[in-house]
Amino acid sequence: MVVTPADASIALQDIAAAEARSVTYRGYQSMSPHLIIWGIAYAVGYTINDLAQGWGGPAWLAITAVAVSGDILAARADRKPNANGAAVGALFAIILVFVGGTLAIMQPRDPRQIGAFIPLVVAGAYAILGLMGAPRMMILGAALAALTLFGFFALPAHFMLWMAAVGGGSLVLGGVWLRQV
Amino acid sequence: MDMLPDEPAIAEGPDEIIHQSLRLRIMATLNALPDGELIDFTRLRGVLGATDGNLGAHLTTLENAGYVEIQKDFAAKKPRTRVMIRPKGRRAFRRHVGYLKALLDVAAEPG
Repeated sequence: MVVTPADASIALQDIAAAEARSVTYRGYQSMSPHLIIWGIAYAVGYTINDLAQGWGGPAWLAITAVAVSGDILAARADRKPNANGAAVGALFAIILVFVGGTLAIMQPRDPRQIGAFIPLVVAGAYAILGLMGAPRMMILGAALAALTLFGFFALPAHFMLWMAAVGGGSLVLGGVWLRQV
Repeated sequence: MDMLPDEPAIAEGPDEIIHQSLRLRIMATLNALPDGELIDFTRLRGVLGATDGNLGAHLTTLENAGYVEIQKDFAAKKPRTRVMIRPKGRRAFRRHVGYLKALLDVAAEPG
């Protein structure tokens, strides 16, 4: 077999493209369960917000604890032993601190403001993941931000239910989409 | 006369099993996965944009060379085929990539 430098160059480009594609789809597979977990969390949490406003805060604390536990279990079940998973975990830990700090300083009175602010920040994090080589996360981030803003401004009376159905539903569907090649 | 650093890699020659276009992409895809991780045949087919028959034939070639392992079982009562790169395959792939890079390095040298 004779391999010319031109053949070698093409082969190395093919290898780089195949590896990048493999890593991207592997990353989607890793992210998928987390989106499904948080989609269900959104659906349950916002529904409680709508039906029993006084229980919104404690309910979200419990839901967040359950969802984060689910995240940890999903991450442990994932075999991927590289730095990406840790980086994504660190990103969301930073967001948690940022959101907590911002809410403590701003102290919004309207639960809808909190209910819109957090998914907007999460949408921003998805967009960052999109820029890090996961373009589907950019699309999911844009969709989550757009749906949140639409619900907040166009459907103020039904915002919580909107977020439960459309926000949570879009995350679940997004998680399923990430599993598809 | 002393050998240039790239010459041993070139002297070994290409890996003729891996160098075929689809097999090269199969190995690159599998090599990017963690050790011991299996990938579904259907997922691999989607990532590579290959057809069932073509992918199956090339996987058999790689399996016969000891580069990949193919596992067939049942999941939720449905037959499932999964593929994993073997240590021998990883070594062969890395050596072949080294060969390709060395070939380019030598071609880029002046004179």
